[in-house]
Amino acid sequence: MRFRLFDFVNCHGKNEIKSWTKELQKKELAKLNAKLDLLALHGDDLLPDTLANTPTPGVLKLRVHGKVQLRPMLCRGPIDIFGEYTLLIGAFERGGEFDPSKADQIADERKLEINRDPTNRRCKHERVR
Amino acid sequence: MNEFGKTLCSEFVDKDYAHAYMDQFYDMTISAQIKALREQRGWSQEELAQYSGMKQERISTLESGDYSAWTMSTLRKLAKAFDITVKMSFDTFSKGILDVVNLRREKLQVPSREQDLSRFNECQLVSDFNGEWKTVEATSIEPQNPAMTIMISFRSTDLFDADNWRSMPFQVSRAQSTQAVCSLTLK
Repeated sequence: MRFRLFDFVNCHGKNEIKSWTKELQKKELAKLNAKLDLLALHGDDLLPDTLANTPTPGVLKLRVHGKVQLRPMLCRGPIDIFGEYTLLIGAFERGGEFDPSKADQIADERKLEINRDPTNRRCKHERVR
Repeated sequence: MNEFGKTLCSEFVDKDYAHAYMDQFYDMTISAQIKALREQRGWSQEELAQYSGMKQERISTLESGDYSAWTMSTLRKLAKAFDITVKMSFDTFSKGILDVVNLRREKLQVPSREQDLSRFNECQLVSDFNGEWKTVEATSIEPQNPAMTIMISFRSTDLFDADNWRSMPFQVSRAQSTQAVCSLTLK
């Protein structure tokens, strides 16, 4: 893989991304994994539109279309901005609104927490099957 | 990469998962290829829209990686604009896994008809062990003897027939690829 993927870990040591992903339906999960694999293999070089900006600078949303619109949010880095992405929060988009609302702002706060303690506040992305 | 391929193989035990994954992958790949082909030709989205008879907004949507309602009509319009052919075929999931792990930007680029046929015309056609015809750059074939030109037209499977190959009037230095046909030396 060309890029490393990480998941946000909360202050209790729980992988928040894994918890969110485990609740997804099988088809949604497959689509999400396909997008994440492409991201890990090629970054957003092949498909720049794979990642879209959110109202919060530095926080990106991964768009996965389907019956449910998945919008996990992530950032480049934040430790090595050229070689890694970190998934910050699992989210959906319904009627133009994020669920949870302010997901992008929560993601930004989590990014800061990772910057303060990268060793404990993130882990290698755990693939859910 | 091998580990990743094995991961997909184990995940694809689930039929619904496998189909959803590959559908998503090929949707993204065709979007990426449209963009790669356009950029290979140095065209803007507006130019591709003009050549294909579509609107720029439509091209943007097709390149977004989120489009999944592909039609043959749309793909043929784009193929004609790029002056390339479009192929639709069914295949195995193992081939799909190989497509995932082998995806490269340069593989998405395709030369236009004129460039391609000009190059094709300069190549030799040789047959591999499965009897499939492949192109070989003419410059890579350097017969040491005029008889070699005859050898090149042999099917490689013929050359290695268990009962006959020892009596053939040549030696084989490599026996695992199409290259073997080109590296025969007369005894």
